[in-house]
Parts: sequence; structure tokens; C-alpha cells
Amino acid sequence: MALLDYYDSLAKAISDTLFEIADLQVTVSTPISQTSELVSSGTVVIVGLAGAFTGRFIFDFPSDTGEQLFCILNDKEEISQDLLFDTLAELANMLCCDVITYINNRNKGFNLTLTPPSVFSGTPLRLINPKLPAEIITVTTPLSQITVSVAFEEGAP
Amino acid sequence: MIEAKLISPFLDAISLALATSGFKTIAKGRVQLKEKLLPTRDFSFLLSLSGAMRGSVAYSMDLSVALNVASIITRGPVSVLDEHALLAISEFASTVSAKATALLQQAGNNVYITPPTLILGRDVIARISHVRIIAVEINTDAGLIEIIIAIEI
Repeated sequence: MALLDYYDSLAKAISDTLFEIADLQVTVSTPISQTSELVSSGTVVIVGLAGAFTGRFIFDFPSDTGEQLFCILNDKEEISQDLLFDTLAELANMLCCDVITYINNRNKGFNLTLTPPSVFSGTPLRLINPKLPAEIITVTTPLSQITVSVAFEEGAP
Repeated sequence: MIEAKLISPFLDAISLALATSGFKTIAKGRVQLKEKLLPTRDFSFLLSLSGAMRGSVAYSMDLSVALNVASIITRGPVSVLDEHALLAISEFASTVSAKATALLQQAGNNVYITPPTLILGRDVIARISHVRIIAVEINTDAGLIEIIIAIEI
């Protein structure tokens, strides 16, 4: 995992973006090794990563946090699942774009690209990448905690 | 023709992987257009694409079918999706991904496919694309598997 130094740019993207668009002050934990599968009871957004490294970011939004973010970002109180999914997908996509732009600008030849975000909800939802080492970052917000799981391996540049 | 171009690599990839794993029955079933917000089955593995084609493909099945798939792949009874069974299905999903990549590249599409993510849950709702979604059913020895394809060209 040390080969792709994503943490600083991801932590900055999360802090800056959530403050700018939602007026939320957040703290971002340092990454720890993910030792078990990710279990969500809310909504998850999966954004794939390809290029010199291949893998994925998973953002896990607890149900109430996802809904509150939706209300803040769309200035609406009535929640539609379609728009909720779109909102969280766009937020995750913005954060991942910041990260790969930062990394690509500092590492010529990495040519990292993102896949379109996929969004899932279920009760509960288990997400597993058995052979891909992953790290977990916890984002503490005034709403609740958002979990980000980052996993990648060397790919084809 | 666009549908065939989209469907074939992903249908052929899993058909080849199933045949290699010892499946005898692999028959294409219904092809349907789906809404962008769609319920999926209990177990899916998701492949995401970037490069010349962007999008996502989910191979989705009921839990009982996933157990049957694991049983056939591991050549032994599997009654629960434990670590061993999930590892076996993950290897199978990686094989499908590798075959799909090869087929797409043979057709001149410079495409990268990310490692598969396994997704298990009840009452799962997914939104894997803004674009048109095509679902193809395949009937196998293990039961019905649905391939949900959402690709931007």
C-alpha cells in the first residue's frame, strides 16, 4: 500500500470538500489495515481505479448521514432514493477525482483513471475483495462517521 | 448491434469460465432493458471498466445459486458462503474479469477492468449507471445468473 501515497490527498479532499459544499468540519483518521469485510447498513458508493494501480474506493454512508448530506447538498427535505444515490455518487466521484489528479500530477506515467461510481444499499450489505489488501479511513463528521475503504494493487500502466 | 457488442464479451466471458469450471448447462435466456435504479439479487460480483469503454457490469444471483456455483467450482458441498467459498467465487470472478478484458481487447477496445468486488445483502438496490442498462439471464447447472450491463461507449 505504501507505493501509492493516497492518504494526504484523500484526507485533504474530504476535509476541504465537505467544508466547502456542506459547511461541515470533519476529522479524518489515519488509515488502518482492514482485517475483515466491510459491512454497511446504509448506502455505499464504489469507485474503481485503473492505470498503474488498480483497485477501488468504497465510501460507506450510514443511512441517516447519507440522508442528511442529501438534504444539505440539495437544500431539500423530501428524500428521493434516486437523487440520494446520485448525490452520494457525485460526492464520492468528486473526492476520488481530487485524489487521482493530485497523484497523477506528481507521478508521471501512473495514468490513473476512475470508473463511474456504482451505488448499492441493502440490509445489511457485505462488501468483499478477498485478495486485495485494504485500508480503512474513518471520517468523523457532526452528523456521524463515514467509512472509506481503499484497496489497490499494481496494475497495467 | 450495439446490444450485441455490449453483451457478447460479458456473456462469453462467464460462459467460458463456467465451462472451464465444469458446468454443462449454459444457456442464454431473456434480454431486458432495466431502469437505472434496480433491485439486484442477494449476491453479485461487480466489475468496473475504464478506458475505451466506461461503466459497470454486475453478475447477480440468488444466494442458493451462489452456493451451487461455489459447490461446483470447489467440487464439494457448500452450504454457507464462508471465507473458503468466497475465495473460490472471487477466483471465479477474477477469471471472468480476465476473459472479458481479453475479449474486449481482441475486439480493439483498450479497456481496463478493476478487480471484482463481491456484494452480499438482502433487499439490495443498485444504481450502476446513468446510461441504459441491459440485463441478460443465463441458465446454468447452478441456477439463474443475471448479467447487468451498463456501459458508456
